[in-house]
Amino acid sequence: MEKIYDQYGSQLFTCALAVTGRSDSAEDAIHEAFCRGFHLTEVPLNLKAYMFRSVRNAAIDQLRRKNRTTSLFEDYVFDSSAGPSELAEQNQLKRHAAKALLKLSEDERETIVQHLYADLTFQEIADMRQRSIGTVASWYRRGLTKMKDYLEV
Amino acid sequence: MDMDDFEAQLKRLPLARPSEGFRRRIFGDKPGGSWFVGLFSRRIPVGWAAAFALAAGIAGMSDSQMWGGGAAAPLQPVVNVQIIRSPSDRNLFDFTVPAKDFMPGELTVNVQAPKEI
Repeated sequence: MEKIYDQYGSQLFTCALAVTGRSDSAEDAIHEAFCRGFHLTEVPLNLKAYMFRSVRNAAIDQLRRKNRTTSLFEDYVFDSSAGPSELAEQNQLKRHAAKALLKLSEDERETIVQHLYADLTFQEIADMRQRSIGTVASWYRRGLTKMKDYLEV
Repeated sequence: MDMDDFEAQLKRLPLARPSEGFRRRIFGDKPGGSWFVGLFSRRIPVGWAAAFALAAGIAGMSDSQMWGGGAAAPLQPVVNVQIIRSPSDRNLFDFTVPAKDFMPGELTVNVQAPKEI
């Protein structure tokens, strides 16, 4: 479990953030998912996919429980602690990409985060969301096209 | 810029991390995280476990002498007393009422000597 956290902590956080829109709720969701994970009697075959699914479910629970509408996703999705060597251009891209992600539908945003940043396959995402692989691939392509259009304007 | 380049450019953006101390919040709550539980959840080499079991077995078989007990106490015979029948309705074992009775009936005593090991 610790290896999963060390390897995918940021990705799990971003995936939870894509659902909750708030960093505190995203952390609560991860915490809840790991606490559940500690009580597993058997290790799932695909522990990584299991943890991403578990975090997503916990994030949905958090969203329902707290019923918050204010989205702070934009402020947290990318690492804002830019070093002095970081190009201003990349900082700008981060800000615009975060805004572009917010313009997408929930399905598109989640799929982009899960596939592009968490390296989950379309099949894993389809299993997690209980949708067909074609639907997931289409959410991804459509979302990416919308982001590209937004950033090129 | 084509879609592949755009995808690669987005992928290069560093993701935000959970707050400082969040890792400790998760793994501090982990069951078995305390030093006491951790002590017993450590893996012990099979050779060590076998050697310990053998030593414990030898100690148990050595007639307790290794603990300074000296010779074992003599074994006591077991005596079972069994009253087969009481001829009267009165409870002969009720000593709350003064009574002077001769206890008739059949008394069987079995004496069983223990076997020496």
